[in-house]
Amino acid sequence: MKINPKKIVFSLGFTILIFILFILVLNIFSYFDPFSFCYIKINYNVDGNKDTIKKAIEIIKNEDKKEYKKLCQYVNLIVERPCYSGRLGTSGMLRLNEDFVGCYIKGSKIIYLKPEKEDDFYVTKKRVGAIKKYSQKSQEFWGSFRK
Amino acid sequence: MTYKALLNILVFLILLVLICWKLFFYIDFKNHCYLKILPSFSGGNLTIKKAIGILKYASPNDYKNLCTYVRTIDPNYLGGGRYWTSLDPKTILVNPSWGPQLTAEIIVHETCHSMQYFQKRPFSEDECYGEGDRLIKNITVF
Repeated sequence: MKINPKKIVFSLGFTILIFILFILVLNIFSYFDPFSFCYIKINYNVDGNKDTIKKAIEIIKNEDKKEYKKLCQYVNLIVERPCYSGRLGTSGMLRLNEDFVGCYIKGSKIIYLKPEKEDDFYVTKKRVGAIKKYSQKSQEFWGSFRK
Repeated sequence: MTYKALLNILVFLILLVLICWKLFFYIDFKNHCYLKILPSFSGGNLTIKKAIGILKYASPNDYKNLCTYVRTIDPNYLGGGRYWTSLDPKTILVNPSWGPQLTAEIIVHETCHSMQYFQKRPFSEDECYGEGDRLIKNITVF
């Protein structure tokens, strides 16, 4: 069989192009860092801001590699939605907890963040703290679960 | 039929089975839990699966009740959730668009109604809201 170098270069280039497109498309709907094998889906809200979540993850990545590794291992979904704390008596009305910026859902690798539309440093910093806190809670849950 | 065509059909069938397995069935051999999740093309099936996972790992008793008293989950409901005995009494209707936390709560609420039916107890919303409230408090870490 005769090998055509032009064909090989074309196939390789096409594969790389598809891979780059795949990463770009994934990054529209989620956070994907192929070099750290880190994929976190983001369910964003119309009342919220997905960009500040991504910025917060980037800050964690650049500032603290250990925290970033923990985040990638113990969080696979960030939901930008209000976090409920229970139901009210017999009416069944849902109770919101407005005192916290989010919550962690036990038995999963899911964290909730309260929707915030503003795209400023204050919101991003608050989200950095929340994401770190709840990935720690997830690690604690799965750590105790395996024991 | 050529060998290549047969291979294509086989690959297609394997993919079809994998997609059905991933979207429309929840199977846990170890805990004898077999659930059917009806098709919903809004992506709700995966949220239902996440919610079942939450129950399995964070609230094993609720998971056991779900596996015992429910056989089918219908994710095509626009309210919160619904239990109708006129349907199959082991079917619950759940709206997954509320996200995994509330979907888990709705599943527990509707399973509670199914338990009331099979245990021949009167239907009580109070009891089932209480069960949902307990679950939310149990699974949520602020």
